[in-house]
Amino acid sequence: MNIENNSTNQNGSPITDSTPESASEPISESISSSNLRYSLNSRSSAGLVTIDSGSNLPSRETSAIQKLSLGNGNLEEFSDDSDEELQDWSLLNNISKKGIKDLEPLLTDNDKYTLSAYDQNKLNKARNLRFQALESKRGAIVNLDNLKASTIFVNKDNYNDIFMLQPKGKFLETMGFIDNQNICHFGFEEALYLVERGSCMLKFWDNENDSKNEIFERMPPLSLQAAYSIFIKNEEQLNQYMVYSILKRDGYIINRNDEFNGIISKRKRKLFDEDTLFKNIEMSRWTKFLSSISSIFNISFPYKLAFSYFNIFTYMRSTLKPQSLPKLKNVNNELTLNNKSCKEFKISFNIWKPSPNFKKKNPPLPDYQITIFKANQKLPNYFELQSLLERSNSNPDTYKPKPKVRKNKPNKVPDNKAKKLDISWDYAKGINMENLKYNQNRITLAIVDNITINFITLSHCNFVQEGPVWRDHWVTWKPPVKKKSTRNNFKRNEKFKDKKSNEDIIGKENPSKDINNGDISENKILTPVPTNKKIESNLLISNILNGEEGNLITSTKSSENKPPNSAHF
Amino acid sequence: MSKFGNLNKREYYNLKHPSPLPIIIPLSYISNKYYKPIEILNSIYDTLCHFIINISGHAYIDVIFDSKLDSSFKITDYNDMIFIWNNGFYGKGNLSRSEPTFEKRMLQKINDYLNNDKNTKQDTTFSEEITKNRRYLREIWKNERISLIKLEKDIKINSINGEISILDKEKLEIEREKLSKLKDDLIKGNVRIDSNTPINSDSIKNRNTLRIEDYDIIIDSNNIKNIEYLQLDNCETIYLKQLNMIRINFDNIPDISLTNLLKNLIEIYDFELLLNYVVYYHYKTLGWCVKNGLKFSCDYILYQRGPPFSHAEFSIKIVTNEETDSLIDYSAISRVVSGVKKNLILCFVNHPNFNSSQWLNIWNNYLIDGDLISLLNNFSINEINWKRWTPSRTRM
Repeated sequence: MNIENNSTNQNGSPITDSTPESASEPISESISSSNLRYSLNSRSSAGLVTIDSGSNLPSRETSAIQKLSLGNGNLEEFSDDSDEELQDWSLLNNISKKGIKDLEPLLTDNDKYTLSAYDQNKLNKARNLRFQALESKRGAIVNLDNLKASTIFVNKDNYNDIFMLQPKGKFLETMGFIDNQNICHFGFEEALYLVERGSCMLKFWDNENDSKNEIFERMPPLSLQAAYSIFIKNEEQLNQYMVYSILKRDGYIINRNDEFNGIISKRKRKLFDEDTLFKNIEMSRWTKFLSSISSIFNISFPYKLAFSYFNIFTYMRSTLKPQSLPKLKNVNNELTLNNKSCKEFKISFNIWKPSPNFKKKNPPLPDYQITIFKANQKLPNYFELQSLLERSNSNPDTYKPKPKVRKNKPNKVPDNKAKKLDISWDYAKGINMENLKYNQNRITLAIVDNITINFITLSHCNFVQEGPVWRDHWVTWKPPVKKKSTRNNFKRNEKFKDKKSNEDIIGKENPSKDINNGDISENKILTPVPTNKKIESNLLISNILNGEEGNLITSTKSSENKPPNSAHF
Repeated sequence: MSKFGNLNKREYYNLKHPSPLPIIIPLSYISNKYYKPIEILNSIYDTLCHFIINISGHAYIDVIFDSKLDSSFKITDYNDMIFIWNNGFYGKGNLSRSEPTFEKRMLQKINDYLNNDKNTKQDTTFSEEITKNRRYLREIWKNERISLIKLEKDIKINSINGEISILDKEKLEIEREKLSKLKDDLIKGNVRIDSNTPINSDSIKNRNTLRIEDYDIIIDSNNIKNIEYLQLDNCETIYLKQLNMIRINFDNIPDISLTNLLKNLIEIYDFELLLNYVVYYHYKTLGWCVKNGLKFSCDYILYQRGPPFSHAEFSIKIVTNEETDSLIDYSAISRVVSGVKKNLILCFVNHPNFNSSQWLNIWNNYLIDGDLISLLNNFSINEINWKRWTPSRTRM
């Protein structure tokens, strides 16, 4: 649970300022502060509960607005452009730095029923901090000077007709749709969100009878409960709102997808191209020759003559080609079960990471696309997921992993070369694991269980396309023969010894300079006889700590030269 | 000297695990850029030798299956066991964690016992020992942490008016830093333990004692009985049989054919077995080292080359047409899998309806013509990567 530090908000935007900087840092968690937040900001819990006992938007009193300015508890993350003074909750961060465990009472063994002096002291301090934080004046978010600019109207005869007459406010940069008469239309989730966070008030509107509008005008705004009951009519809408508000509060820009209303669009692309699917498992000429011989004479494939395991794998794989082709989609085929229960799920929202340059009229490709599922739903079958993936269209760069920076390899040089060479497939390199882990065909499932939402990103991957993972040069490749002079080795050893003894003297001050795995293995290679006991014990321990023995060898690999482009037959 | 002798670790493992399949073929070392002329001759000689030796006959590995005993496929011969493990990492030693190391471990234990007066050097060769040692070091750290927590509590309770004195605060801070440094050192492998102190507490305790049952397996001073066998699981057995590498004694039928083997297994395990085998074969033919994923809450885990070389990167969960698990179940699996730093791959097997008459036709045809590949081609496989997204982390 986060207590946002409002004093740090500088951009003053009501929407995107919600958390970006404050939530990312670990903020203390404590009993008292979390309770506090709970009572002040209960909209995080389903929003069905009212804000807090003293702050129900009073609907019958004429002094509603005054009360509103005092009582509306949405203190957390607003700051309209108005110069309201913001509540500084950062005080509460001082209660405990270690979190909730720090606040457990310390009981002595003798006396289990009275608090120790330490606990009493701590409790008093926490209480005082809390009272201090609550002491200061709290403000409203709606712009009191120009109420019309922050009032959302809902057509009393058609609750889907939600609009604002004089749209103004920073939130309009990412929300709503302004028509040519300068009326801003909202979706129900946007209106509800704005009302709930206190940026806007909600009032009824009558299209036919203007005199009624005057009455509505004079009436106090609709309460949050009323807003919920107007906008949320079924579970689906509640789930949509939950997902919307959670992501919105996290600072994301979120808009409806075209399919929001249930009209499923056509598929935008194929997941894989059947022509290039098998390019990495193509057999070499020699393997083709062997396989044709084996089929002509009806004998088993002569593995012994294959000359490389890679050839064997490509042969075995080539017999299985039909497995990776989408051949069983035929509805009438008795063999398949899946088609009878194939449903289409809709993509509900498009999501962008917070960006100051976002234009809602001309948005870039979304970073994520959300489809909403209930937690107790069955896992959709492949064709349902495939259809979702084929309809998705999100920014391919979002999921690309950041390039790993290695010390030994400067990044810039190979980049230039890469453009000249076709590096789409390189036998020497081994398969590209990233292709299996990240793919631009992806869809995010929001799995909703009451108010808990788990987000899952599903992405297409295809092991066949990447080809066999085995590389024969793992075995056959040897590092170029170095001229080993014993003198050098000896020197190195001496150096190493010096370093070690220095470290012993320096002791704990300089742990980062200790040998790492690469050094050890290198050293290992160069020391023919382990005269130095310390090296050995180090090796041993690093071995142990690395878990499986494998780690050491991978580090050895990376520290050695790259294997050459060994030809494969 | 470590277990690698004069070789570096890479060379050692290349010699030990030269192939992904239990078929030894002459590899063309000439493809290596850095070969010496003599190596070309070597290579040709190797190749020729291979054929001359192997012309004489095909060596099969004997596998025993007894449905009355325990319905498992066993390799009992020690050399076969080692061979099949080293070349493709098949099976599991019944007295070991995975690689059948029981005999070697026992020999070492006995030798240590006999020479315990001087031989203090620990040779942590076995993966079991390595894990044990890692846990031991972790235990050391945990004990340190417990003592710190205790110290902190004492200071707090004894504090006057609930205020911790500056002196105590400093004391605590120093201890805390010590602890975090110890953890860093453990991770980086910088902990120095005098090579005279054995780091394995268990082996200290056990070194001087052999249990009574340990004496039962001693033959003479250099030899012990090998009571370990290697157990193959069903898919591994079918795969090896398909490669024609093993000879199976199935309930006293010597050398059962692949078709009959499959028929018998299907009678025991139903057609579900085929689903597993399709997936196993799928990844196996792509060169992956496929091992059972039960410990990682999924069906299979994939190693790029094998357990000694790297951690498994992917875990495979098979999803069939009749999948009934809810999204909650899959969320649970993904939590476990991501906890061990693997990627969860949902492997959707689109399989024929096993109750349909069409399928029975196909199955009966297979029993007649024995063409396993075309049987497997009635299935199709699609993969989807499942990854958790935490919105609060990806905002920037």
